[in-house]
Amino acid sequence: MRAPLLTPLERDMLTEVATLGASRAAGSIARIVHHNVDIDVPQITLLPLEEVPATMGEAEQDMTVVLIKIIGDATGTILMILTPENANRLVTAIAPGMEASALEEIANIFSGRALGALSKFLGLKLLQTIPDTATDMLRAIINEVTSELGTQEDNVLLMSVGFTVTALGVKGALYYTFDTVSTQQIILKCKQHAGQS
Amino acid sequence: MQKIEVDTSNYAIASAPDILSTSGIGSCVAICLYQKERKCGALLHIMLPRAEKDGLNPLRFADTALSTVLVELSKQNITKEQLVAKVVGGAQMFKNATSENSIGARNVAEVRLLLTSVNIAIMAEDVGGTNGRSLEFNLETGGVTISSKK
Repeated sequence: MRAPLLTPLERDMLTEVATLGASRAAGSIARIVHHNVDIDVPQITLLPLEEVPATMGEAEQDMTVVLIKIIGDATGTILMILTPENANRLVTAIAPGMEASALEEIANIFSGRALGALSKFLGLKLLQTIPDTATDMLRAIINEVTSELGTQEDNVLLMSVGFTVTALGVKGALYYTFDTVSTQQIILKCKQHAGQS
Repeated sequence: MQKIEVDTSNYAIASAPDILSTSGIGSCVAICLYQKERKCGALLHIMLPRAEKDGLNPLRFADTALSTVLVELSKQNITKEQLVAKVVGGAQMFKNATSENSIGARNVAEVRLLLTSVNIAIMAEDVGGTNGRSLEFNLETGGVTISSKK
């Protein structure tokens, strides 16, 4: 049941793709919040889906999660995860009193930009659904998301990018999950892009 | 006394004075099975009702996880006739999913059906809603204590 490992080359390609998407996304958010948005180096892991929540924090930790589903040529999800306090600070900075809808809009822009960049780079049509928000125990929320893959797979590709808006004291992270078929397709497109297949 | 934490898609069997616990149950369902006379029991944390294909982690699914646990219990001479159940979880964490089709609701329906089919009585339930839950299953008393953030 252990996850098959990605080759170093595949990992590098996926990191490049994730960095590209995240930096576009960060740029668009920076224009809205009028502050710099810094992103970390993306982390790429292929892991059993039961282990996903533990990579994000403590099981019972209170977290705000915005969920967007990826549909089209690849299927997956995008998650924006922040502590409720950080989510509140981010929303208050741009749209006081608008809470969930403003946060969903931020996630929408974030993921839309990232997906747009990925679609173009990979030559895949990637679309996103309307965002949905939940604040509760981290594992309770994440398991509902990963369970949708669980009827078909044991493993999931998880790409994560931490982001910081220093001026607002906000830290959060963006996660992309893809099922195995979509992961293979993304890797294939990366290889074609690099002219190696 | 030992506190044994059960992860998602896993189970544990123990007896008093130990406590079985599991945390962050959302749409998943936790099943507490208890044998009163011997003060022992099992805690399962399942994620989905049934597998749609072979070769997947059997402890993720209500049907295969429950049958695995019943076999393990029978090895300790605990038969299903001696067991009672408490069922916890099956929430819907995101509001946009429709409640009849939510994974949580399907999990609860499947677990009820499975327990009924093997004649294990459900003594108590705390299911549905929109909040995550954690629980502690006290094998001394068979009591289940549930905590939640909301």
